[in-house]
Amino acid sequence: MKWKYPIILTLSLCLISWGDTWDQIRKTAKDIASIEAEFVQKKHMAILAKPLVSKGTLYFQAPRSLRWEYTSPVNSILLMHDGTVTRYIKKGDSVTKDSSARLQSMQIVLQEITMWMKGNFDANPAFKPELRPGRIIVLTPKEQSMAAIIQRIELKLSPRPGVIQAVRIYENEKSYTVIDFTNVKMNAKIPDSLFKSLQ
Amino acid sequence: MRATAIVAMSACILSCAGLPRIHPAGISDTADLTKKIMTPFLKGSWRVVHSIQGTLPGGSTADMIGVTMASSDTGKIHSTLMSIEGLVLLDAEYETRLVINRGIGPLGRQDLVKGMMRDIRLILFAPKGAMAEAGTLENGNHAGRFRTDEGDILIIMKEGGDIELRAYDRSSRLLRTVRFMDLKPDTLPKKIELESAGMIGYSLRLDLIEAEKIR
Repeated sequence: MKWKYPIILTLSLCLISWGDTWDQIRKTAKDIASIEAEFVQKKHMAILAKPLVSKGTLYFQAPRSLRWEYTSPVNSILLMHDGTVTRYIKKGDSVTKDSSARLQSMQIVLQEITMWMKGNFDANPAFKPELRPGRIIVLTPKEQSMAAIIQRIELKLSPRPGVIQAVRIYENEKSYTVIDFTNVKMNAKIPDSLFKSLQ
Repeated sequence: MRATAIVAMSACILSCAGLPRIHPAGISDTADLTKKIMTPFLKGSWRVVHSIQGTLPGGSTADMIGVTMASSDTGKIHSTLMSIEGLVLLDAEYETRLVINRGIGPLGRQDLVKGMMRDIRLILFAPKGAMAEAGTLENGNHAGRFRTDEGDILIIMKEGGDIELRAYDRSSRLLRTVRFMDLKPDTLPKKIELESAGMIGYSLRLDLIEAEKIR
Protein backbone atom coordinates (compact mmCIF):
# COMPACT_ATOMS: atom_id res chain seq x y z
CA MET A 1 0.00 0.00 0.00
CA LYS A 2 2.93 2.32 0.76
CA TRP A 3 3.70 2.80 -2.95
CA LYS A 4 0.32 4.43 -3.43
CA TYR A 5 1.05 7.47 -1.23
CA PRO A 6 3.76 9.05 -3.41
CA ILE A 7 1.51 8.64 -6.44
CA ILE A 8 -1.45 10.24 -4.66
CA LEU A 9 0.79 13.04 -3.43
CA THR A 10 2.17 13.65 -6.94
CA LEU A 11 -1.33 13.61 -8.41
CA SER A 12 -2.55 16.07 -5.77
CA LEU A 13 0.29 18.45 -6.54
CA CYS A 14 -0.54 18.27 -10.23
CA LEU A 15 -4.16 19.09 -9.49
CA ILE A 16 -3.21 22.25 -7.61
CA SER A 17 -3.16 24.59 -10.58
CA TRP A 18 -2.34 28.30 -10.52
CA GLY A 19 -5.71 29.42 -9.26
CA ASP A 20 -6.16 27.07 -6.33
CA THR A 21 -4.17 28.91 -3.68
CA TRP A 22 -3.28 32.56 -3.05
CA ASP A 23 0.41 31.64 -3.11
CA GLN A 24 0.10 29.99 -6.50
CA ILE A 25 -1.77 32.98 -7.89
CA ARG A 26 0.80 35.48 -6.64
CA LYS A 27 3.70 33.33 -7.79
CA THR A 28 2.28 32.98 -11.31
CA ALA A 29 1.26 36.63 -11.61
CA LYS A 30 4.71 37.77 -10.49
CA ASP A 31 6.09 37.01 -13.95
CA ILE A 32 3.49 39.11 -15.78
CA ALA A 33 5.08 42.15 -17.37
CA SER A 34 2.28 43.05 -19.77
CA ILE A 35 -1.17 41.97 -20.93
CA GLU A 36 -3.12 42.83 -24.04
CA ALA A 37 -6.68 41.54 -24.39
CA GLU A 38 -9.94 42.24 -26.13
CA PHE A 39 -13.04 42.49 -23.99
CA VAL A 40 -16.80 42.37 -24.31
CA GLN A 41 -18.76 44.12 -21.56
CA LYS A 42 -22.40 43.22 -21.02
CA LYS A 43 -24.48 45.40 -18.76
CA HIS A 44 -27.53 43.65 -17.33
CA MET A 45 -30.33 45.75 -15.81
CA ALA A 46 -34.03 45.27 -15.18
CA ILE A 47 -34.79 48.22 -17.46
CA LEU A 48 -33.07 46.51 -20.41
CA ALA A 49 -34.70 43.70 -22.41
CA LYS A 50 -31.26 42.54 -23.53
CA PRO A 51 -27.84 43.43 -22.15
CA LEU A 52 -26.13 46.56 -23.37
CA VAL A 53 -22.96 45.40 -25.09
CA SER A 54 -19.74 47.40 -25.17
CA LYS A 55 -16.48 46.25 -26.75
CA GLY A 56 -12.91 47.26 -26.45
CA THR A 57 -9.27 46.48 -25.77
CA LEU A 58 -7.23 46.44 -22.59
CA TYR A 59 -3.49 47.02 -22.31
CA PHE A 60 -1.64 46.57 -19.05
CA GLN A 61 1.99 47.07 -18.29
CA ALA A 62 3.54 46.34 -14.90
CA PRO A 63 3.63 47.90 -12.45
CA ARG A 64 0.69 50.29 -12.91
CA SER A 65 0.06 51.39 -16.49
CA LEU A 66 -3.31 50.73 -18.05
CA ARG A 67 -5.15 51.62 -21.23
CA TRP A 68 -8.86 50.71 -21.10
CA GLU A 69 -10.28 51.47 -24.52
CA TYR A 70 -13.90 51.13 -25.62
CA THR A 71 -14.48 50.97 -29.35
CA SER A 72 -18.29 50.67 -29.22
CA PRO A 73 -20.92 51.94 -28.63
CA VAL A 74 -18.95 54.90 -27.25
CA ASN A 75 -15.35 55.42 -28.24
CA SER A 76 -13.74 56.12 -24.88
CA ILE A 77 -10.11 55.78 -23.86
CA LEU A 78 -9.00 55.71 -20.25
CA LEU A 79 -5.31 56.08 -19.68
CA MET A 80 -3.58 55.43 -16.39
CA HIS A 81 0.10 56.15 -16.12
CA ASP A 82 2.30 57.46 -13.30
CA GLY A 83 -0.72 57.58 -10.98
CA THR A 84 -2.86 59.87 -13.12
CA VAL A 85 -6.03 58.93 -14.96
CA THR A 86 -7.26 60.66 -18.09
CA ARG A 87 -10.30 59.84 -20.16
CA TYR A 88 -10.86 60.92 -23.74
CA ILE A 89 -14.08 60.60 -25.70
CA LYS A 90 -13.93 60.44 -29.48
CA LYS A 91 -16.97 61.47 -31.50
CA GLY A 92 -16.34 61.56 -35.20
CA ASP A 93 -13.29 63.74 -35.66
CA SER A 94 -13.60 65.51 -32.32
CA VAL A 95 -11.89 64.43 -29.10
CA THR A 96 -12.88 65.74 -25.68
CA LYS A 97 -11.18 65.22 -22.35
CA ASP A 98 -13.50 64.09 -19.56
CA SER A 99 -12.76 66.23 -16.55
CA SER A 100 -15.52 65.06 -14.23
CA ALA A 101 -14.99 64.28 -10.57
CA ARG A 102 -15.97 60.68 -11.33
CA LEU A 103 -12.50 60.15 -12.74
CA GLN A 104 -11.15 60.20 -9.21
CA SER A 105 -13.28 57.18 -8.36
CA MET A 106 -12.25 55.65 -11.69
CA GLN A 107 -8.64 56.00 -10.59
CA ILE A 108 -9.42 53.79 -7.60
CA VAL A 109 -11.08 51.19 -9.83
CA LEU A 110 -8.19 51.21 -12.30
CA GLN A 111 -5.64 50.87 -9.53
CA GLU A 112 -7.65 47.88 -8.37
CA ILE A 113 -7.48 46.32 -11.85
CA THR A 114 -3.71 46.78 -12.04
CA MET A 115 -3.47 45.02 -8.67
CA TRP A 116 -5.54 42.11 -9.99
CA MET A 117 -3.31 41.83 -13.03
CA LYS A 118 -0.40 41.29 -10.67
CA GLY A 119 -2.27 38.73 -8.59
CA ASN A 120 -2.81 41.09 -5.63
CA PHE A 121 -6.45 40.52 -4.82
CA ASP A 122 -6.13 41.40 -1.15
CA ALA A 123 -4.32 44.71 -1.58
CA ASN A 124 -7.44 46.85 -1.20
CA PRO A 125 -8.50 47.06 2.47
CA ALA A 126 -12.05 47.99 1.40
CA PHE A 127 -12.73 44.46 0.08
CA LYS A 128 -12.52 41.03 1.67
CA PRO A 129 -11.12 38.51 -0.85
CA GLU A 130 -12.25 34.90 -0.90
CA LEU A 131 -10.87 32.17 -3.14
CA ARG A 132 -13.57 29.71 -4.16
CA PRO A 133 -13.27 26.35 -5.96
CA GLY A 134 -13.19 26.62 -9.73
CA ARG A 135 -10.67 29.49 -9.74
CA ILE A 136 -13.21 32.08 -8.64
CA ILE A 137 -12.24 35.04 -6.50
CA VAL A 138 -15.01 36.94 -4.74
CA LEU A 139 -14.34 40.42 -3.40
CA THR A 140 -16.91 41.62 -0.88
CA PRO A 141 -16.96 45.19 0.46
CA LYS A 142 -16.18 45.48 4.14
CA GLU A 143 -17.98 48.78 4.62
CA GLN A 144 -21.73 49.30 4.18
CA SER A 145 -21.10 52.55 2.28
CA MET A 146 -19.15 50.67 -0.41
CA ALA A 147 -21.66 47.77 -0.42
CA ALA A 148 -24.38 50.26 -1.32
CA ILE A 149 -22.49 50.95 -4.55
CA ILE A 150 -20.96 47.54 -5.33
CA GLN A 151 -22.42 44.44 -3.71
CA ARG A 152 -19.56 42.15 -4.77
CA ILE A 153 -17.02 41.51 -7.52
CA GLU A 154 -16.40 38.03 -8.91
CA LEU A 155 -13.27 37.28 -10.88
CA LYS A 156 -13.02 34.06 -12.86
CA LEU A 157 -9.45 33.00 -13.49
CA SER A 158 -8.65 31.26 -16.76
CA PRO A 159 -7.13 27.77 -16.80
CA ARG A 160 -4.23 29.54 -18.54
CA PRO A 161 -1.89 30.69 -15.76
CA GLY A 162 -1.90 34.40 -15.07
CA VAL A 163 -5.02 35.18 -17.06
CA ILE A 164 -8.31 36.61 -15.76
CA GLN A 165 -11.10 35.18 -17.89
CA ALA A 166 -14.04 37.27 -16.72
CA VAL A 167 -15.08 39.89 -14.17
CA ARG A 168 -18.61 40.27 -12.80
CA ILE A 169 -19.42 43.43 -10.89
CA TYR A 170 -22.71 43.22 -9.00
CA GLU A 171 -24.56 46.35 -7.93
CA ASN A 172 -27.40 44.05 -6.97
CA GLU A 173 -28.76 40.76 -8.31
CA LYS A 174 -30.63 42.53 -11.15
CA SER A 175 -27.98 45.06 -12.08
CA TYR A 176 -24.54 43.72 -12.89
CA THR A 177 -21.74 44.01 -15.43
CA VAL A 178 -19.96 41.05 -17.01
CA ILE A 179 -16.62 41.63 -18.73
CA ASP A 180 -15.20 38.71 -20.72
CA PHE A 181 -11.60 38.83 -21.90
CA THR A 182 -10.45 37.11 -25.09
CA ASN A 183 -7.34 36.95 -27.31
CA VAL A 184 -5.13 37.50 -24.29
CA LYS A 185 -1.49 38.16 -25.14
CA MET A 186 0.95 38.04 -22.26
CA ASN A 187 4.33 39.67 -21.92
CA ALA A 188 4.29 41.09 -25.43
CA LYS A 189 6.11 44.37 -25.96
CA ILE A 190 3.68 47.30 -25.58
CA PRO A 191 5.06 50.76 -26.35
CA ASP A 192 4.99 53.17 -23.37
CA SER A 193 3.38 55.82 -25.55
CA LEU A 194 0.17 53.77 -25.63
CA PHE A 195 -0.38 54.60 -21.94
CA LYS A 196 0.46 58.29 -22.31
CA SER A 197 -1.43 59.46 -25.37
CA LEU A 198 -4.38 58.63 -27.59
CA GLN A 199 -2.26 57.32 -30.52
CA MET B 1 -40.40 105.70 -7.65
CA ARG B 2 -39.39 106.62 -11.19
CA ALA B 3 -36.31 104.45 -11.00
CA THR B 4 -38.40 101.47 -9.86
CA ALA B 5 -40.75 101.98 -12.78
CA ILE B 6 -37.83 102.14 -15.23
CA VAL B 7 -36.33 98.95 -13.79
CA ALA B 8 -39.72 97.22 -13.95
CA MET B 9 -40.25 98.35 -17.54
CA SER B 10 -36.75 97.26 -18.54
CA ALA B 11 -37.33 93.86 -16.97
CA CYS B 12 -40.60 93.55 -18.88
CA ILE B 13 -38.95 94.56 -22.15
CA LEU B 14 -36.10 92.09 -21.59
CA SER B 15 -38.37 89.19 -20.68
CA CYS B 16 -40.90 89.89 -23.40
CA ALA B 17 -38.05 90.04 -25.91
CA GLY B 18 -37.43 86.36 -25.11
CA LEU B 19 -40.48 85.03 -26.94
CA PRO B 20 -40.32 85.84 -30.64
CA ARG B 21 -43.40 87.00 -32.47
CA ILE B 22 -45.20 84.58 -34.74
CA HIS B 23 -46.89 85.98 -37.84
CA PRO B 24 -49.98 83.95 -38.68
CA ALA B 25 -49.42 84.48 -42.40
CA GLY B 26 -47.47 81.95 -44.42
CA ILE B 27 -49.08 78.82 -43.03
CA SER B 28 -51.62 77.25 -45.32
CA ASP B 29 -51.97 73.99 -43.48
CA THR B 30 -51.74 74.15 -39.67
CA ALA B 31 -52.42 70.43 -39.33
CA ASP B 32 -49.39 69.69 -41.51
CA LEU B 33 -47.18 71.98 -39.40
CA THR B 34 -48.45 70.36 -36.20
CA LYS B 35 -47.55 66.93 -37.60
CA LYS B 36 -44.07 68.10 -38.62
CA ILE B 37 -43.18 69.73 -35.31
CA MET B 38 -44.27 66.58 -33.46
CA THR B 39 -41.67 64.50 -35.37
CA PRO B 40 -38.97 64.39 -32.64
CA PHE B 41 -41.24 63.24 -29.83
CA LEU B 42 -42.15 59.75 -28.62
CA LYS B 43 -45.40 58.21 -29.74
CA GLY B 44 -46.32 55.34 -27.43
CA SER B 45 -43.84 53.48 -25.22
CA TRP B 46 -40.14 53.33 -26.06
CA ARG B 47 -36.85 52.19 -24.61
CA VAL B 48 -34.02 54.47 -25.70
CA VAL B 49 -30.27 54.31 -25.07
CA HIS B 50 -28.17 57.44 -25.52
CA SER B 51 -24.58 58.37 -24.99
CA ILE B 52 -24.69 61.66 -23.10
CA GLN B 53 -22.06 64.32 -22.87
CA GLY B 54 -22.72 66.98 -20.29
CA THR B 55 -20.88 70.29 -20.18
CA LEU B 56 -21.14 71.81 -16.75
CA PRO B 57 -20.71 75.41 -15.58
CA GLY B 58 -17.00 76.14 -15.79
CA GLY B 59 -16.59 74.03 -18.91
CA SER B 60 -15.89 70.65 -17.35
CA THR B 61 -17.41 67.69 -19.18
CA ALA B 62 -18.80 64.31 -18.15
CA ASP B 63 -19.71 61.38 -20.36
CA MET B 64 -22.34 58.81 -19.50
CA ILE B 65 -24.81 56.35 -20.97
CA GLY B 66 -28.52 56.89 -20.36
CA VAL B 67 -31.23 54.26 -20.65
CA THR B 68 -34.81 55.50 -20.51
CA MET B 69 -38.15 53.77 -20.76
CA ALA B 70 -40.92 56.26 -21.37
CA SER B 71 -44.54 56.28 -22.41
CA SER B 72 -46.19 59.27 -24.03
CA ASP B 73 -49.58 57.69 -23.16
CA THR B 74 -49.03 57.62 -19.39
CA GLY B 75 -46.22 60.16 -19.04
CA LYS B 76 -44.22 57.62 -17.05
CA ILE B 77 -40.44 57.80 -17.19
CA HIS B 78 -37.95 55.25 -15.87
CA SER B 79 -34.42 56.47 -16.37
CA THR B 80 -30.95 55.21 -15.53
CA LEU B 81 -27.62 56.93 -15.93
CA MET B 82 -24.44 54.93 -15.89
CA SER B 83 -20.76 55.47 -16.43
CA ILE B 84 -19.30 54.14 -19.67
CA GLU B 85 -17.76 51.37 -17.57
CA GLY B 86 -21.26 50.30 -16.56
CA LEU B 87 -21.58 51.59 -13.00
CA VAL B 88 -25.17 52.76 -12.44
CA LEU B 89 -25.10 56.25 -10.97
CA LEU B 90 -28.84 56.91 -11.07
CA ASP B 91 -32.00 54.83 -11.34
CA ALA B 92 -35.14 56.90 -10.98
CA GLU B 93 -38.81 56.73 -11.93
CA TYR B 94 -41.34 59.49 -12.40
CA GLU B 95 -45.06 59.26 -12.97
CA THR B 96 -46.99 61.23 -10.42
CA ARG B 97 -44.00 61.57 -8.10
CA LEU B 98 -40.27 61.02 -8.21
CA VAL B 99 -38.83 57.76 -6.87
CA ILE B 100 -35.03 57.43 -6.73
CA ASN B 101 -34.20 53.73 -6.64
CA ARG B 102 -30.46 54.41 -6.67
CA GLY B 103 -28.58 57.67 -6.67
CA ILE B 104 -24.85 57.96 -6.10
CA GLY B 105 -23.43 61.21 -4.71
CA PRO B 106 -25.29 64.30 -5.94
CA LEU B 107 -27.59 62.07 -8.02
CA GLY B 108 -29.28 61.05 -4.79
CA ARG B 109 -30.66 64.59 -4.42
CA GLN B 110 -34.39 64.95 -5.16
CA ASP B 111 -34.13 68.53 -6.49
CA LEU B 112 -31.34 67.69 -8.90
CA VAL B 113 -33.05 64.54 -10.21
CA LYS B 114 -36.38 66.38 -10.51
CA GLY B 115 -34.64 68.90 -12.75
CA MET B 116 -33.18 66.06 -14.82
CA MET B 117 -36.60 64.48 -15.19
CA ARG B 118 -37.98 67.83 -16.40
CA ASP B 119 -35.26 67.92 -19.07
CA ILE B 120 -36.05 64.33 -20.10
CA ARG B 121 -39.75 65.17 -20.42
CA LEU B 122 -38.92 68.19 -22.54
CA ILE B 123 -36.74 66.09 -24.85
CA LEU B 124 -39.02 63.05 -25.16
CA PHE B 125 -42.62 64.23 -24.84
CA ALA B 126 -44.57 66.57 -27.07
CA PRO B 127 -45.91 69.64 -25.26
CA LYS B 128 -49.30 69.08 -23.68
CA GLY B 129 -52.39 70.74 -25.09
CA ALA B 130 -53.26 72.27 -28.41
CA MET B 131 -51.07 74.64 -30.37
CA ALA B 132 -51.98 78.18 -29.31
CA GLU B 133 -50.39 79.88 -32.28
CA ALA B 134 -48.85 78.84 -35.59
CA GLY B 135 -47.14 80.84 -38.30
CA THR B 136 -43.85 82.26 -39.44
CA LEU B 137 -41.04 83.95 -37.50
CA GLU B 138 -39.25 87.09 -38.69
CA ASN B 139 -36.56 84.94 -40.32
CA GLY B 140 -39.13 82.96 -42.29
CA ASN B 141 -38.94 79.75 -40.23
CA HIS B 142 -42.26 78.07 -39.52
CA ALA B 143 -43.10 77.80 -35.83
CA GLY B 144 -45.79 76.76 -33.40
CA ARG B 145 -46.36 77.90 -29.83
CA PHE B 146 -47.89 75.84 -27.04
CA ARG B 147 -49.09 77.32 -23.76
CA THR B 148 -48.55 75.03 -20.75
CA ASP B 149 -48.99 75.45 -16.99
CA GLU B 150 -45.25 76.15 -16.64
CA GLY B 151 -44.99 78.61 -19.51
CA ASP B 152 -44.69 78.68 -23.30
CA ILE B 153 -43.08 76.13 -25.59
CA LEU B 154 -42.04 77.35 -29.01
CA ILE B 155 -41.14 74.80 -31.67
CA ILE B 156 -39.34 76.02 -34.76
CA MET B 157 -38.74 74.23 -38.05
CA LYS B 158 -35.18 75.20 -38.93
CA GLU B 159 -33.69 75.35 -42.38
CA GLY B 160 -32.00 72.06 -43.18
CA GLY B 161 -34.63 69.99 -41.37
CA ASP B 162 -33.58 70.38 -37.73
CA ILE B 163 -36.25 71.24 -35.17
CA GLU B 164 -35.66 73.58 -32.26
CA LEU B 165 -37.67 73.72 -29.07
CA ARG B 166 -37.53 76.71 -26.76
CA ALA B 167 -39.06 76.52 -23.30
CA TYR B 168 -40.01 79.76 -21.55
CA ASP B 169 -41.28 80.38 -18.06
CA ARG B 170 -44.53 82.29 -17.38
CA SER B 171 -42.60 85.58 -17.63
CA SER B 172 -41.43 84.58 -21.13
CA ARG B 173 -37.86 84.12 -19.93
CA LEU B 174 -35.99 81.50 -21.93
CA LEU B 175 -35.19 78.45 -19.79
CA ARG B 176 -34.11 75.71 -22.20
CA THR B 177 -33.27 75.33 -25.88
CA VAL B 178 -33.40 71.82 -27.36
CA ARG B 179 -32.17 71.07 -30.89
CA PHE B 180 -33.31 67.86 -32.55
CA MET B 181 -31.02 66.85 -35.38
CA ASP B 182 -30.71 64.08 -37.93
CA LEU B 183 -34.45 63.52 -38.07
CA LYS B 184 -36.16 60.93 -40.21
CA PRO B 185 -39.85 60.04 -40.37
CA ASP B 186 -41.02 57.38 -37.88
CA THR B 187 -37.68 57.26 -36.09
CA LEU B 188 -36.28 59.17 -33.16
CA PRO B 189 -33.72 61.96 -33.59
CA LYS B 190 -30.15 60.68 -33.82
CA LYS B 191 -28.73 63.74 -32.07
CA ILE B 192 -30.23 66.06 -29.47
CA GLU B 193 -28.63 69.08 -27.82
CA LEU B 194 -30.08 70.75 -24.76
CA GLU B 195 -28.87 74.05 -23.42
CA SER B 196 -30.05 75.61 -20.19
CA ALA B 197 -30.11 79.39 -20.00
CA GLY B 198 -29.00 81.41 -17.00
CA MET B 199 -25.95 82.13 -14.90
CA ILE B 200 -25.22 78.49 -14.10
CA GLY B 201 -26.15 77.08 -17.47
CA TYR B 202 -25.20 73.63 -18.65
CA SER B 203 -25.56 71.73 -21.88
CA LEU B 204 -26.23 68.13 -22.82
CA ARG B 205 -25.52 66.35 -26.06
CA LEU B 206 -27.33 63.07 -26.62
CA ASP B 207 -26.42 60.59 -29.35
CA LEU B 208 -28.88 57.78 -29.94
CA ILE B 209 -27.39 54.30 -29.53
CA GLU B 210 -30.56 52.17 -29.57
CA ALA B 211 -34.29 52.76 -29.73
CA GLU B 212 -36.93 50.10 -29.32
CA LYS B 213 -40.68 50.50 -29.38
CA ILE B 214 -42.31 48.58 -26.53
CA ARG B 215 -45.58 46.87 -27.33
